[in-house]
Amino acid sequence: MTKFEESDNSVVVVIGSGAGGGVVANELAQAGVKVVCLEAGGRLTFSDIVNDERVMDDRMTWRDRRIGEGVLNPRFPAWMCKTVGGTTMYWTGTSVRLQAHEFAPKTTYGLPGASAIDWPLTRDELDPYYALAESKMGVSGTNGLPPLPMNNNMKVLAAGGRALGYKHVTSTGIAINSAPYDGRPQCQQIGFCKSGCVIGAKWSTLYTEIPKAEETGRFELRPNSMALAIETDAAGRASAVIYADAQGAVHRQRARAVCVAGNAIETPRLLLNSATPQHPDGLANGSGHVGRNYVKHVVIGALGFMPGEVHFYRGAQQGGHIADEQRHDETRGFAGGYQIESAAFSPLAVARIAFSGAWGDELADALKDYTRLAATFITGEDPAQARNGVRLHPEEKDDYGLPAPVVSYEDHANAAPMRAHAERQAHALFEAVGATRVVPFRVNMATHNLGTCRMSADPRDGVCDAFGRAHDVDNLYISDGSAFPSSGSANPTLTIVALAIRQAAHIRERMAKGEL
Amino acid sequence: MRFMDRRKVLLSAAAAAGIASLAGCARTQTHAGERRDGLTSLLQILFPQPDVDPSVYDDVARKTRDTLNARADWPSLQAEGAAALDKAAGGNWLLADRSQRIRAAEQASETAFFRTIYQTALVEFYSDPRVWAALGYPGASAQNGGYLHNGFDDIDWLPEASP
Repeated sequence: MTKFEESDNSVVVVIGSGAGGGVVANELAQAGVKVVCLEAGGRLTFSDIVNDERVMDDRMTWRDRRIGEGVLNPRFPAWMCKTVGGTTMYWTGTSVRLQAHEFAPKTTYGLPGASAIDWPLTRDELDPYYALAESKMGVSGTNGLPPLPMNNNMKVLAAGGRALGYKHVTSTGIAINSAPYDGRPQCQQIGFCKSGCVIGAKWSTLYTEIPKAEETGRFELRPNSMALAIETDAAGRASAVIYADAQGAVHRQRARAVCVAGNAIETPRLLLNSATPQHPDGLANGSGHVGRNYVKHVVIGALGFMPGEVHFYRGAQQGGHIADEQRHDETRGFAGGYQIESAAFSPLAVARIAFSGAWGDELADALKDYTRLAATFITGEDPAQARNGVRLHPEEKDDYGLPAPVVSYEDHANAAPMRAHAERQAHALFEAVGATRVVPFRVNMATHNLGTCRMSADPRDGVCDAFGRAHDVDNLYISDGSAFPSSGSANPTLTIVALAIRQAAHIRERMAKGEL
Repeated sequence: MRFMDRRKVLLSAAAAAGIASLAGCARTQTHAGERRDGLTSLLQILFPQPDVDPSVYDDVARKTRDTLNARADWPSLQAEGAAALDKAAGGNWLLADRSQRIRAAEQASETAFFRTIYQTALVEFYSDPRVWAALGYPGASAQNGGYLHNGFDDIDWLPEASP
C-alpha cells in the first residue's frame, strides 16, 4: 500500500471518500496526481455488509453530536454516513440528470423569500461529465445497460402512473447493474439494498473508485481520520490539514491543494472551524455564505394498501421512477417539480416513519397488511433560504473537542402546496390500481444534504466558482453536494459525481499550467 | 419464593405496585397468553400484532429494560411515569383489563416515560424476525440468492401489464 509522508506537500488532500471525495481522489490519482484521502469513518469489508438495515445503520451512520433546529430532530438533524464510501454506502442508486431549468432556479422560479441564485454553469456544460459519470457508475439505460427489470413494487407504481396519464415511467437511471458491468455482478434483486449492496451490484466508491485509486500506487486512504481544521500559509493558500486519528492523536498533513467533501454539514463546519485571525469568520467565507442556503429535498412518502400481494421487499429498494411531475408548471400552484420513485420500507421503517408515533390497533392493523403494501418516495425542489444552514454552537463540543454543529431548517412556503399536490397524486396513482387505502407521510430527513457552500458566478453570492474552487482560497475546492446552489428534483449523487469529474479535470489543467 | 414474594408485593402495595412491575422481572401468565409483567403487558397494548407469540413480548421487554436501565434519567422517568400509568389504569395497571390499559396508555402517550419506552421497544419489536414472520416478511434474502429468480416480478393481479 502506498504511504505518503505528512511532510509531503506535493499531495492533494481529499477530505471524505464518498460520491464527491472518492471520485475526485480517483480521477486525480488516475491522472498521475498523488492523493491522500482522509475519511472520518472506518473501512468495511464485504463480510461487514449484510442484508439488514438496522445492522447497517449501526455500522455506518454518522452519530457525532449535532443539534437540530426548526423542523429537524433536535438530536439527530440529518442522516449521513461515517464510513469509507460515505453516503454512497447509503443510497438507492437513483441517478438522474438535473433538468436544464433546474440550473436556473432564480430566473425560472423567482420565488419570494428564497435566497436562490442560478448555477454558474448550465446543463449543456455539465452534460459531457454526466455522460462520464453514468459510464463510471454503470447507470441503467446508459452505456448499453438495459433498464433495471421492474419488481412488483415498481410495476404497481408504473401501472398507476400510466393510469394517470404519466408518460415518463422508467427503470433507467439507476446505478445498479442491470447486467454485469465494470467487474461487478448483475443485481440479484436481493432487496433492502439502500443500506449497502451485499454483492456490489450497486455503485459505491467503496467498491469502485477507492480500490481503483489504490491500484494506481498514487493514493493513500486514511480511514478513521477526522479533519479538524485546514491551515493556510502567509499567502492565504491552503497548506495543510490537521486531523485526528482513531486514537485521537493529532496529525498535520501538508498539502498542494485541498478538496473538501465531508457532506453538507461537515464541509461548512470544517471551514468555520478553520477560522484564524486572517479569516475570522471561517475559511473561504468572505461572502458570509459558508453554512447558509442549506437545501435538502421536499420529501413525502406514501403507502398504498393494494388489493393483492406486492411483497415490496423483493428486489431493488428503489426500482424506478416517474418524471412527469418534475416539470416547472406554475398552474399546479408551486414552483419546480418533484420525482416519484418506487420505494420499499422494512417493517420497522413502516412503523417508525409512515406511522410515526402510532401504536395499538392503528399500528398493528397497518402492519398486518405488510405483504400487500406498495410504496413511493417523492423528492421535490427545495428553494434555498438564507436562514437554513449550519453554524457552530458557542459552547457544545463533540468528542473531538470541536464545536458541535447546529443545523437549522424550516420549510419554504413553496413546500406545502407541492406536498399537497404530491399527496393527491400519490392517492390517485395507487387508487387507480385498486388501493383500498393510501397513507401519505412526511419525511423531514433525507440523505440529500446540499447547498451550504454553494457555487456562484459572483463571489459575493457564494463560496466557490463553477469548478468548486473557493473564491477566497486559490487551492481549496468544495467537492461535494455542498456546492449545489439548489436541490433540483432528482437525487443528487449523479450530479455530485459529474461535478467531481469536472473539478478533477480542471485541477489537472491548472497543475499543467503550473498554477497549483 | 422470590417470585411469589414479588407478586404479592405487586398486587398489594397500592401505588407502588405498578411502578415496581415495570422495572422488575415478576411475571405470571394467564391462559390467554396475557402477560402480567408490567412492561410486557404494556408492549402487548402498544403492539398488538396478531400471530406473534407472547414470548416475543417477553424478549422485547427484556431488551427494552436492558437499554433503558443504562440511561441515567430512566429511574426518575420511570418512577413518575409508572405511577401515572397505574393511576390512569384505576390504581394498578396489573389489575386493569385491556380496555382500561388502552385508556391509560392514551392518557400517558405524551409523557417522556411513554415515548421513551415506545421508541426503544418499537425498534426491538419490529426488528424481531419472529414478528417479521408474522407479517409475512421472510427477512434477508441475500443468503438465498435474492429474488431475481424467485418472484421479484411475479405480480399477477395488476389491471395493466407492465412493459
